[in-house]
Amino acid sequence: MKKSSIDNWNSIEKKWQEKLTSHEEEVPAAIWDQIEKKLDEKKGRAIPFIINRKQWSWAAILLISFGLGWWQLSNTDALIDHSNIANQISTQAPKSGVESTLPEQAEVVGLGETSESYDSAPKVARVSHHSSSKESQDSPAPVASNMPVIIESNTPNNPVILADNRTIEKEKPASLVKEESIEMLIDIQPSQASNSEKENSYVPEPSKKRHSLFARVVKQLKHAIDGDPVDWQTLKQGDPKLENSIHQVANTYIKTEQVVQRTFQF
Amino acid sequence: MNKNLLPFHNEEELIEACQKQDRRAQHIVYQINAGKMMAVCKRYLGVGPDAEDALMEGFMKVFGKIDNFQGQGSFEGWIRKIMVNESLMKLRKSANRFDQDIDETYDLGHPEDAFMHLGVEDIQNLILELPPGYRTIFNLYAIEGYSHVEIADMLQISEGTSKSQLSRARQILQNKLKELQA
Repeated sequence: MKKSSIDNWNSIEKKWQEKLTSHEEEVPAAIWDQIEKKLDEKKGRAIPFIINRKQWSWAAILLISFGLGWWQLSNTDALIDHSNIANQISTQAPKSGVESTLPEQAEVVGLGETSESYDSAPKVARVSHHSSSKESQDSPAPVASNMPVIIESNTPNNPVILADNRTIEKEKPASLVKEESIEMLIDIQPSQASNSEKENSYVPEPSKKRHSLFARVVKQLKHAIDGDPVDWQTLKQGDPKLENSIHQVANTYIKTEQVVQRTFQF
Repeated sequence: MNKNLLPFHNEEELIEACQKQDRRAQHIVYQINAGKMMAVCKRYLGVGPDAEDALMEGFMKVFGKIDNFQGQGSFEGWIRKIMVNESLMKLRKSANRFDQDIDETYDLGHPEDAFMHLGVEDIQNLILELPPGYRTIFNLYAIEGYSHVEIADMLQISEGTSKSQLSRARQILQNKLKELQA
């Protein structure tokens, strides 16, 4: 009984729904005028904001460009400091030169061993010699005379040991002729090695290429795009002038942004 | 082709033009829908400035948020939803509570056959005579077709309150009709 009354109500309401959804009421003409007026106001507010936003963004871009350009011009000589690099070379121990001067015993190191095992071998000096031509093979890295020299070649499982200063040239497959890597383990008597020899043995380290500011900025931007953490500090790289310039540009940009936000706050 | 849409060939073109804030297209949308939407607003808010305000603000929202219309469902239905929401907001502002007094369902008798033959004006007048809370739930359930769960969510009330208020609204309507017939 109760259910049938609800069903009746539902059917009545459906009928009412049909009648009312298509029903229209008269609308005062003033309503559209008011809507139009409001739409115009909204449009009027939006247009200058867009124009100004574009102008401000261009101004900010120009400002940043000028700032960075000015800095770069005033610091061109700081980018590559040759004298500094020369000093570094003279004070640093060469990586491919004599690493240790503690003599005791020569050791033969097999090819399968890692570089860790080379480093951990005590009291043995190691000379690495990489040659790419025949000439350089003829003149191996200078070492103290009368020393036992161990030459380790890259030939698999065939380390060649010599008692003297001599080198052995072995026939090698064509693929290995172009580039050859020889590591020599030398037992050095430090008292015999003169200072001049040491200096001569230094192979100058190729100067570390310093990227231009633009390249560093691009690199950081690439990091930012990839979603990696960005380290803007790398742009400074120990230059206080650049630090100041960056701060100035950043402050100007933030101030500009705040002015824009304040001006167009609705 | 619907002559009301001219110079646009179909509703999609009209909506696209509205999305570009074409004033002519906006006016056509208004002309097509304003009458129906006015009826919706009046059904919730009664005759008066509130309904006109709701209509105006509703159309501002329609034109402002037309980019959100994805073409799922009818355009008219989308506008109607906005108008209903706008009317509910107006009701809330006028401190109408939808969860008042009752928490039980009323035993309804069979509705009169006369209900079936009522004209639109009479139906509208009957609904408008309901207290705002009952009227809102009756409109949402019986005319707009929302479920009790949806109504409870929209008005922040319990489902039971929605059901009980609907049965109370039906009872009042039945009594009103009896009064009219007598």
